[in-house]
Amino acid sequence: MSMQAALPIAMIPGNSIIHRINPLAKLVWVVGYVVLAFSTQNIVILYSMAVFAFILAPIAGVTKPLLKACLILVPVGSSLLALQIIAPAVERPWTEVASLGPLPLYGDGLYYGFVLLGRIVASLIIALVMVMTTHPSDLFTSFAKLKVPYTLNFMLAMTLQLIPVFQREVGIILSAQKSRGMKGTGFAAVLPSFVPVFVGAIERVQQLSISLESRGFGSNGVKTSYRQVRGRPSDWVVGIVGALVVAGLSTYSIMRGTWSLAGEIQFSSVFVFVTFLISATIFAGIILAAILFSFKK
Amino acid sequence: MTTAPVAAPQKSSRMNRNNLPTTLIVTLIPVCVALNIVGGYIASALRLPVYLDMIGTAISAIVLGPWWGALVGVLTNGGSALISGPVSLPFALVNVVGALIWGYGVRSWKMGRTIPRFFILNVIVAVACTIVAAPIIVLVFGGATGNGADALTGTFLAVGQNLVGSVFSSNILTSLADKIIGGFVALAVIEALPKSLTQNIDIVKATPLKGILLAVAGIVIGVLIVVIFLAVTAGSAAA
Repeated sequence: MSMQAALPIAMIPGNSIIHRINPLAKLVWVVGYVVLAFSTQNIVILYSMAVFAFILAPIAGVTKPLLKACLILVPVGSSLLALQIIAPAVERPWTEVASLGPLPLYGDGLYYGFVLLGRIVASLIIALVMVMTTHPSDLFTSFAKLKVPYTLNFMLAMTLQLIPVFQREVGIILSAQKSRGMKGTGFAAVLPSFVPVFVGAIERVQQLSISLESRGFGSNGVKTSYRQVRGRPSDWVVGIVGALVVAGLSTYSIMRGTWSLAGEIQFSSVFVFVTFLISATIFAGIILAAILFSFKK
Repeated sequence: MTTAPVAAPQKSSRMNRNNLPTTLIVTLIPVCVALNIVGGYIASALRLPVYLDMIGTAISAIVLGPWWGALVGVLTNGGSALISGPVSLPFALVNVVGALIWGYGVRSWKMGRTIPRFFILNVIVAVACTIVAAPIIVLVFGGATGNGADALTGTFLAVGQNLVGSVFSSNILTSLADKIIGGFVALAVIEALPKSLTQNIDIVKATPLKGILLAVAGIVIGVLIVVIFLAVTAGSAAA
C-alpha cells in the first residue's frame, strides 16, 4: 500500500538565485514574515507578503510542488472563513450584514477571517519556498554557526532523514498485513501496523547508538561539517534588507495599533453571504468526501 | 584463595539518570519525533478519525522521562514547521503539556500501574491538551482546524455558544479519542521494547484495544451529550 500523501519535505534540486542564497539569509526572511504577519491586521500587507513569496516560487522553479503543498490550506481556509463569518474572534460589537435563516453573518468576521488566512498563507508560502530551495545539511550547518548545540542539530537532521524511511516502512508493513488477509484500514489495523513500525524503529536506534558511540559522538572538541556554507556579500544584503523591511513595517504596524483596515474596508452583504456559502460548501464537501472515502472498500 | 574487593561500578559520564547511554537517547528522540510526524500519516492511511500524532511523545515521556518527552514535543512541532510552515509552532505547547503529564503521571504519580489508572491518566492528558490547544486554535486559526471537528464547532456556534467555548467543546471530543487511543498504542509499543529500556518503569501490560475503543466510544458519547447540553443552555441564556 502506498501512503496517501507523501510529506512535502524534500528539497527540489536546482541552481536558481533562490537556491544559492545563504540559508541564514532565507531564515531571516521566514522569521521576519512570521513576526510581521502576527504584528499586523492589514490585509493589504498580508496578501502582498503572500504574493511576494509566491513570486519567488517560479524564480526557484518550485511552483508545481508549492501549489501541491498549499492544498492543505483548502480545508483550513474554508472552515476558517465560515467560522469567522458566524463568530468573529474579535471583541464585540459585531456588524451583522446578512443572515442565513436564524444565523447572523458578520462583516467584521469576514475581515478578520481574511487576516488570519493571510497570516497562514504568507507564512506557509515563504517557509515552503525556503524548505524547497535549501539543502537540509546546509540549514543545519548554518544552525551550527549560530551556536545551536550540535546534538540538537543532529536530532533535527536525523528526524528529517527518518520521516521518509518510516513512511516507506509503514507502506511495506500495511501491504504485508493485507497480503495475509488482515484488515488494512480502521481501528483493527492500528496495533498491527503501529507496533511493528515503532518497535522496528527503536531496535534500529540501538545499532545507530553503538555506531555513534564508536565514532566518538559525545567527545569534546570542535565539530566539523562535511558541507561548508559560506556567506557572500549578496547574502548579507538579502538578510539585512529583509530584517530592515520587516522591522520597519512591524514597528509602524504596532505603532498604528495593528494597522487594521476593518474600518476602511466594508464588505457588501452579498459578498459576505456568497463567501460564507462558498466556504461552508467547500468545507462540507471535503468532510462528506472524507466520510465517503472512509466507507469505500 | 582470596578475591580482591570489587569496586562498585561507577556511573559513566556518558550515562544519564535512566542508566541509558546518551547516544541511545540522542538517537531515540529523533525516532520518536519522526514517529509523531508519521503517526498522523498512518492514521490517515488507516482512515481513522483521530490524529495519533503524540504517540512518540508518550513513549519518550514514559520511557525516558517527562522532560525528554517535552523535548520530543518541541522538536515535533519544530520539524513540522520545516514541513508545513511555522503556524504549527505554537502547538508545541500542547505536545509539551502532554509529555509532562504522561511522564510524571507514570513515573512519579504511578498512574501506569493498572489499566483504569492509565485510562484516567490519558483522560487527564486529553483535557489538559484541550485547555492549552483551544486558545491557540482561536488565536492562530480563528477556531478552524480543517478537520471534521470544525463542523461541530460550527454547530455549537450556531446554537449560540461563544467561539472559545465551541472550539473547546469540539476539541475535547477529538482529543479524548486521540489521547486515550494514542496512550494505549504507546503502552503496546512500550511492552514490545527491549527490556533494557523499560526495566525501571512501573507500568501495566498492554491490553487489547477493543475494550479500550468501547470505553472511548462511551466517554466520547457522554461528553458529547454534556457539551451539547451546555451549548444549548449557553445559547438560551444569550438569547
